[in-house]
Formats: sequence, structure tokens, C-alpha cells
Amino acid sequence: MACLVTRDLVIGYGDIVVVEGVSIEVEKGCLVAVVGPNGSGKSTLLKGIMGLARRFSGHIYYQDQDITLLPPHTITRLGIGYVPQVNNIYGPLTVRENLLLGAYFRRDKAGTEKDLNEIFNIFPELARRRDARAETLSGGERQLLAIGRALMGRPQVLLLDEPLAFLAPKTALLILEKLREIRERGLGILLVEQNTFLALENADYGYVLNQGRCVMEGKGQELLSDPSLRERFLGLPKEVR
Amino acid sequence: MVVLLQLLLNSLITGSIYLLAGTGLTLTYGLSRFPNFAYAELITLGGFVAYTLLQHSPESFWAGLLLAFLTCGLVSVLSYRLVFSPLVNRRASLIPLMVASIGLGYVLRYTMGEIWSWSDLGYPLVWTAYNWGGLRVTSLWLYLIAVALSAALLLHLFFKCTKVGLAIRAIATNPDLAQVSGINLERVILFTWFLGAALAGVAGVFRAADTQLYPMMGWDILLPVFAAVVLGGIGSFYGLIIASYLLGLAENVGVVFLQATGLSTEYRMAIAFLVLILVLIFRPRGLLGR
Repeated sequence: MACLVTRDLVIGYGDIVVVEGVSIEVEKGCLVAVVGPNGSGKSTLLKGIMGLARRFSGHIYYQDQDITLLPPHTITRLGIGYVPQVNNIYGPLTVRENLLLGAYFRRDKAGTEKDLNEIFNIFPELARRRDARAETLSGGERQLLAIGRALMGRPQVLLLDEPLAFLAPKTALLILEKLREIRERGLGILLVEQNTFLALENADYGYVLNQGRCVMEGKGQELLSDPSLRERFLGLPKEVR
Repeated sequence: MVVLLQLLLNSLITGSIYLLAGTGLTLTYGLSRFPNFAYAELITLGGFVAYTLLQHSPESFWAGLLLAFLTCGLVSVLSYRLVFSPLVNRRASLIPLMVASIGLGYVLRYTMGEIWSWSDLGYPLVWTAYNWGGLRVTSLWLYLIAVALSAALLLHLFFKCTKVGLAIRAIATNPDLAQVSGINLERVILFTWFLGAALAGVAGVFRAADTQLYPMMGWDILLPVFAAVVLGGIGSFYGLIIASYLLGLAENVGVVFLQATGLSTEYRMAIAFLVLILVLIFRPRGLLGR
């Protein structure tokens, strides 16, 4: 059974429709990638799921519960972690405070403390800077902090908005490695990425968005070898050599 | 020497009022992003409700403070729910929110004038006066300074050591991220509106006890309170602490200066604002503004 499902979701801002009826599924323990060109509605899809953009019609289900009209903080509390593309950390607050805010709604103090240590284990880069202000971190460290913050809420599904953008290739690979680690723990991951190749190569399943519609879907590797996708979105020759 | 000490004491008194009255203004600005002019009337309201209690039992100054604290907090929460929350939900920008707060202020002011009085009232209280080697002190002033400084210390601990305090700082830096961290924005914002207005009410009681009580009382000190808030860096609580006492000092040094030059002490506000303008020229975002 899929953990997070959208059905014919129509999303936008004000009166403008950006996502025009998208249906996706994220299973537990799976990394699902949503790729597509700039302005195809990838980020808006995530914002719509979180309740940060206007939901015109369609449905969102989380573990069989209809969460379509719930406010963002309730959706987060149910178990959906979200890492926005920009402004995804609390700059003036310390690394530790950023992480604790991810667990803000949790009542178990001991569990929170334990998870904090676990995050520091997964991301030793953050442990070293735990009392530093978040805005003093490097780009890659900020991204790790943003992911760590979302994990502190013990989500079942993690939504990531272009976590690899603006990162050095080495850092991007490090983040991908951490994401695979998180997937191994049984979380479902919905990854929105501009870097189509890197995303699909690591994804179990992928959706290709164009102008607010889903134009193609399939297993990550299958999509990567699709001639028209290779030509349109990857700038690669049609044939796999 | 005694003159200097008296000057510092007077500055502490003035600054403490600004600090208590400005805390709510700067906190709610930090979260709701608009200056709430109705704070003037919340200061006045604190003075009036305590006045009514003191009419019935003149011994209950501290109960009066508590009553002002609770009443002003509740009125502020109600005003948010009835006036500002609907506007915020309809995505009103800064100016409509500001104008609405001025309008609400007028409604509150005239209501208070009708309920209580349009003429000056005084608290039926007599404060113990001390003379410490020429330094004039009253028990009221000591209470005021103690209350303001303890409030500042408690708020500092609250921001640093509690979850809600952390949430308030989080919302002030990144409200969208706060929502997707599972923070119920509306609830935290309502709490800050309560707390800030409650402290403004306390400031009103002290102001009324020290001078006179009239419907324009809050409005008359709102301008210097705003000056302290802006000087500290609007939204910055720690900036406000420094700025309140700095402005208090500037005002009282101004008085001494004016007396020495034979000018009217009515001009002391002008000197305080001169300090404000000078600081803003060099630090446009205020002392600790971001």
C-alpha cells in the first residue's frame, strides 16, 4: 500500500493554476523522483501536498487518510516531512535549535534527545557545528541541516525540493548517499529535482512533469533509457551507448 | 554626584516604562509584521482597570497590576481574533492592518473615556518616599524598575529555555518553515499578543500611578515607545532593552541640559528624537536590527 497518494491534484496560487491534475504514489522504503524543466510545477506539487499552495481540486491521501484540506502544521504532525528548496533553515538559530524545532510537536523528550543524537550520527558534519548559527554553515551543510530538521519529526514520508541545486558535485553525491540511507530505514522519499539524470539514476520510480502535467512515468532506469526523455530533458543522444 | 545618580535613576524609571510598554509592540511586530497602534490604548486600559479596583480596595496595588495584566492580554487576544486575524487570512498588507489598528485604538479610547472619565484621574495611593543622601526615591519607582528588569530577565529565559520561546524565535525568522516544522502559527501568535499586551497594561498602571490617568495617556507615550522599538531594531527584544534605557537617559540628560540653558523642559522629547535620528542615520535598522 502506498504511503502518500495524490489523485488528479490541481494546485496553484491565487487564481493561477500551476499543477493541472497530477496523480503520484510514494511507497514506504522507496525513492520517487519528480523531474521536469523549470516551471513545470514540481515545487508547486510539493507545496500543494503540504498545504502551502492553493488546492483547487483533487485529493491527497496519507496512509489512507484524506489530508487534502488540512493546514501545514497538521500535515507535518501526521508524519510528512518537508524540506523546501530555499529558506529551509532558521538562519539566526543554532544547528541544535534548528533540529529541535523539527521535533517541536513531539511530546517524548527522551525520544527527541535520542533522535537528535542519531541525526548527529548520520550527519557528523552537523555534530561538529551543533552550537554554531545555522547561517554560518556551508551550502551542503545547510542542506543536511534542513533534511535533519525534517527527520526530527519522525516522518514516514520525506518531501525534498531540489536538495541538490547549487551544490558542488561531490556534495550532491554525499546528499544522495544520505537519502539512500534514509530510504533503507523504511521512509518513503519524494524527491523533486532539476538534475534529471542524477535523480532518476537513484530513484526507484520517476514521474516527468511538463507544464503542470505528468507526461511520463516509470521505473527510474527505464525512464533514463527512454529515447524521447533523453533527448528532451537530458540533452543526451537518443540511444544508450 | 547626587545629581548624576538622580539622573541615572530618572533614566531607569523612564526606560522601564518604555521597556514594559514596548515589549509587546516589538514582539508582535516580529511575528505579525505590522505595528499595532492600538497598543497605546492597551497601556491606558491597564491604568483604568487598576483604577477601578483601587477605588474599591485601595490596598490592592499588586492585585491591580495582575488585573491589568490579564485584562489587557485578553482584550488583545480578542482584538486579534475579531479584527486582525480575518484581515491576515485575507492577506491584507501592512497599511490596512496598521490603519485597522489605529481605528481599533480610537474605538477603545472613546469607549474608555465614556466608561471612566475624560478628565485627569489619580490613584488613591501614597508612596513611601526616601531620601538617600539627597537622592530622591519612592517605593513606586523601585517597584517599577524591579518589575521591568525581572520581566526582561524572565522573557530572556523564556525565549532561550522553553519550547514556545524557541517557536516564537522560529516564526520571527521563517514563518513558512515554522508551519512545516509542525508549529501552530496562530496559537503561538495569539500567545505573544496576550503576553505583550499584558505587559503594556502593567506599564499603564505604573504610568498612571506615577503621573495621571486620562484616555490619551497611552497615546501620549506611544511615540517615545515606538522610538525605543525602532531604535532597538523593530522586532528585536534585546535591542528594545538597550534602546529603552538609552532613550530614557537621553531624555533625562536633555532635561538637565534644557534647565541649564533656561529652556523649557517641554523640549525633552525633541532631544530624545534627535538621538533616535542620529542612531538611525548610522544604523538604519536600529541597534540590533537584522
